[in-house]
Amino acid sequence: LGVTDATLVLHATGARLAPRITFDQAAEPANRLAVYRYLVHLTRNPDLAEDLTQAAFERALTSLDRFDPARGPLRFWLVMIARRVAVDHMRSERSRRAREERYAAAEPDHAPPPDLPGEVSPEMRRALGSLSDTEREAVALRVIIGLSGTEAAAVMGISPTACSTTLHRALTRLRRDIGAADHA
Amino acid sequence: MHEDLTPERLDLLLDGAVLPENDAEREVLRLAAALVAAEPEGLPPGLEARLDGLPAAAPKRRARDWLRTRWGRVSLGAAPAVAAAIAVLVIAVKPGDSPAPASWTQSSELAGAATESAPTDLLSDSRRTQPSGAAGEERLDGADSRAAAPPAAAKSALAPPFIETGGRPLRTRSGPGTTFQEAGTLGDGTPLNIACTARGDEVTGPFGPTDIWDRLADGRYVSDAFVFTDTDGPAAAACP
Repeated sequence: LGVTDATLVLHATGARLAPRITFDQAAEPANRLAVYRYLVHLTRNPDLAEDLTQAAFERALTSLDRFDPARGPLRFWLVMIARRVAVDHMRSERSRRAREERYAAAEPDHAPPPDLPGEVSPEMRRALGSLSDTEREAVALRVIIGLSGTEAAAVMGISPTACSTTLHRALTRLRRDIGAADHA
Repeated sequence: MHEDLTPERLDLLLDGAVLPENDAEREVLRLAAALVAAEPEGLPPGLEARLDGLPAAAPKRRARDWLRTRWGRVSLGAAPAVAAAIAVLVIAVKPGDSPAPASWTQSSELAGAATESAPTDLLSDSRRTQPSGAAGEERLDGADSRAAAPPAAAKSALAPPFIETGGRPLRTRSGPGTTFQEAGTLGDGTPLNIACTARGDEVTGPFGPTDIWDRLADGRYVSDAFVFTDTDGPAAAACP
């Protein structure tokens, strides 16, 4: 077996090679910020987004050897991990809530959604809040984080065409809502 | 935003692949810029510190975790069998013992290390077997006080026939075959009182492969593959 053959065999058998990246590369400031911003918009809960950001980087740390640059840039990979972490959390949160509601008297939860960090104007916050979860996620991935259309679609698990249409719809509505507020 | 701004055109604009050509396109880019500008400048200080606190490299994966993930990938169903086979080999290869071949240590006639011992009253020689220990120590002991058992090293000094399994309990059956119901186990080194012999399923063991099954005085059968009888043929007359 030559070196190349051996590598192929290793790949074919699912063996892991040494990671191509270091954790410091993955956790560089721009990537941290991208993951955090994405999670803020995905969850609309800054505290939760902080916890999930940490969890996402912890998970990235233990699976650095699974990063394959052929499949997409580092930021795309990190956002994929962040989404899995968030989905896992929401799933367990849902089941926890369902459990609690079954066993305890449900307390009315009328707490207003926490303010998003940053310089979000009230109009923009209201407009962002009127978007569906999918539309908000498309805006976060494409506009705020700057992933490509293909990458954003892959993260959301939808087709690139569906992602484009969703983003178009979201921006149209944002433009209308914010524009209307401007003229009011 | 104008109707003529298609999703495809919007994608190109956002990617910077084309420049805005009309007011609608300029507006949407202004909106995108406003959205980005509204984002917080940096991470919350607490989060920054938490991320800095993460170790710079993943902790070394422990061999056990690695094996678990490997096995999980190959086949979940195969994992217990692989584990059992390795456990058998580990137990069988005691210091001073020659390694037992996998062909017979995997025999279905060998019971697991945690198998309960056979009830005393069923044993022809009134000796008790003990549940085997993890270290593979001798399974016969003087729990009966009147019948002290020989240590493992002295097994060869036993007069045949006796059980030779390399340390594990041997299954006994209600008939001469592996499909007959199990009737308890006998420990390694247990001397036997063979009443008669019968032909049944072929079993591979230290003295086999053989299809000979030995019927004990209490009516139970054990495969002759695990019984030292000093002969390759039947050690007793055929059962009626």
